[in-house]
Amino acid sequence: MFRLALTMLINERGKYLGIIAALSFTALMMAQQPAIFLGMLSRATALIDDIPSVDLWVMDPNVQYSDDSKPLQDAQLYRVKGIAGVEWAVPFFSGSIQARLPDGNFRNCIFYGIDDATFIGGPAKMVEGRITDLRLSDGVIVDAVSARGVLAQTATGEQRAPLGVGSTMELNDLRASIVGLHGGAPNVQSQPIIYTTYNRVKFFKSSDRKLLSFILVKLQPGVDAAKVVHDIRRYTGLAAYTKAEFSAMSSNYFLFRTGIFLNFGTSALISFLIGGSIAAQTFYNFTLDHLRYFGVLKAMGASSRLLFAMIALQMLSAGAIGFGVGIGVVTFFGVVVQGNTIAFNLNYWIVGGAAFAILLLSLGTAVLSSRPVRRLEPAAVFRG
Amino acid sequence: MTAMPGGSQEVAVQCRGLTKSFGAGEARVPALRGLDLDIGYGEMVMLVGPSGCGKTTLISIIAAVLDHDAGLCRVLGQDLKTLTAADKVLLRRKAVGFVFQAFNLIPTLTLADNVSVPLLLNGVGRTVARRRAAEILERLGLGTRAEALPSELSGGQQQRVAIARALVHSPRIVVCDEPTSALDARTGDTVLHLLREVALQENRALVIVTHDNRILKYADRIIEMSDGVITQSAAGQPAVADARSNLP
Repeated sequence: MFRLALTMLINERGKYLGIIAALSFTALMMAQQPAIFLGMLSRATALIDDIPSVDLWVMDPNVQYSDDSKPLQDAQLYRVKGIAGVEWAVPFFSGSIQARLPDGNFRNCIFYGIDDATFIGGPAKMVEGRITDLRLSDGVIVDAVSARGVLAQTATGEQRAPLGVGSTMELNDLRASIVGLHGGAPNVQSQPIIYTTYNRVKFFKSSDRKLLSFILVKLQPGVDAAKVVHDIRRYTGLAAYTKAEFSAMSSNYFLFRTGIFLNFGTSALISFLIGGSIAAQTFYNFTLDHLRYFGVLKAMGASSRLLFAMIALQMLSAGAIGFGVGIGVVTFFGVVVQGNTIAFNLNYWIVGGAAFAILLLSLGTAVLSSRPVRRLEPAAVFRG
Repeated sequence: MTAMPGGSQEVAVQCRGLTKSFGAGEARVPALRGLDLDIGYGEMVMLVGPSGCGKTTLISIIAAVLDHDAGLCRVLGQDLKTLTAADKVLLRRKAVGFVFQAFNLIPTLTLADNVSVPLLLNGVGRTVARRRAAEILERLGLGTRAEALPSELSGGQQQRVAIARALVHSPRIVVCDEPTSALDARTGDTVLHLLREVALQENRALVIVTHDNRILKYADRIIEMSDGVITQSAAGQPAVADARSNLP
């Protein structure tokens, strides 16, 4: 009977394809929107996650997330170094800078300054060149995606030759030489990320009085991080967080203090409602169109439970195919945008969530659609 | 009481004082008023009478798709009042075949799949069910069309498929609601011919509701109803015997 149930649905081509298309759209949007959101979220914390050797981040107490720079006095670095339990502490600059492109177009970029001696805080992955080349005169390292993307575009959006090692660009009207390309993704706002040394930041941003954004701290082995955090707060008045705390703080900022989560959530919810409504309505109509035949089956001895199982199977099979198509399209989208400016992070949780949503939708639709069948009296088949 | 001709002791359906009403209070409409009827195995009974006289209500009760209010209705020896809903589902599944006025073949299934349905409901495997469906379709002259869709057939052919579906699981009772009303006279004759040949051969009881006087000659017994009671019961016309003897 179950095979016949599937045949009944599949042979109703128009409605069947309509249901599949609606469910595919629902699955696609339920996965794609969260994947982009998660991609953006991971970029929001990429700076913190990509510096593995650091135990504590020290900053102005008013800082809310990793790109929120509230400059400190350079003297604070030495005060932190003096706290018991600190093995080393290095300066880190986080800010923005205007890049002038060869065609005269300007592009706002994220600008990081890392410790001149150790290069701690530098990009986690180099695509071209070496991080030590930052010692070269006017040296900067640009993210590879932007070097062939937004930094290689004219004002009208036309593409020109990508930037590479040896290319030059203007930062704040000063010449900068690209000595390397890093593999980090652009930030949440898809702005290029440029690294240089902390002292060279003073050259490019000479008008800024204070440049120290964060102090990166390594703890001595066996030291209680909570005690050092407490001491830093007590003796310097600065806030200190472990990597995990600062990462969570940055994520929470984007989750709860901006409209990004709401926008993506609303988008996914509306897609679910629209796609789900179309699929449910189409399937419900299919069931109503076949009500007479379900009545015949009921008269011939099909129990209400069997009929519900047939209807549920029809909808669940359509749900499974729609889910497969939707996730397939999202995966293809992910492959296409990989290494691009679009943030995208499709993980098992998102796929599982989309599957759960489609499952709920399918079961709900099956229950809804089976109601008229359940209420149908078998004697109705003799009423013409 | 309307007894079987020839005094047959084999009773497939036994109704005594059968009553059924629809609606409640002042809107209550009686459909059957204390009806008595016996139908034997191997007997083709035709119910005739004006619309609203209770014919369809009677076959609905006999087919266990509708509950009666009072009286006795014993089908294949089982008192329907004592059966649970699940028992009635089982009774219909195993022992009742249905032929409808509008054929009611599932349009998206092939003829073989449509005919297989009663067997599948009875737990027969798909391969066996399809083979038996093909056999009965062959017997009804539609063996080459087993994989066609109902929409590709004429009305007469569709009703033959409906008969195949009603008989494929060898039910003891077959109820037919206006089986020829959508067919021309010649096709109607063919359909009744087939029903007699295939259904009665295995000693089934056939109950047919009809307004079509042309087919009355096929009946063993014609029962006329009016206002929820049986007003007349007569044996079939002599032509019936001729028609039966002329069966191929």
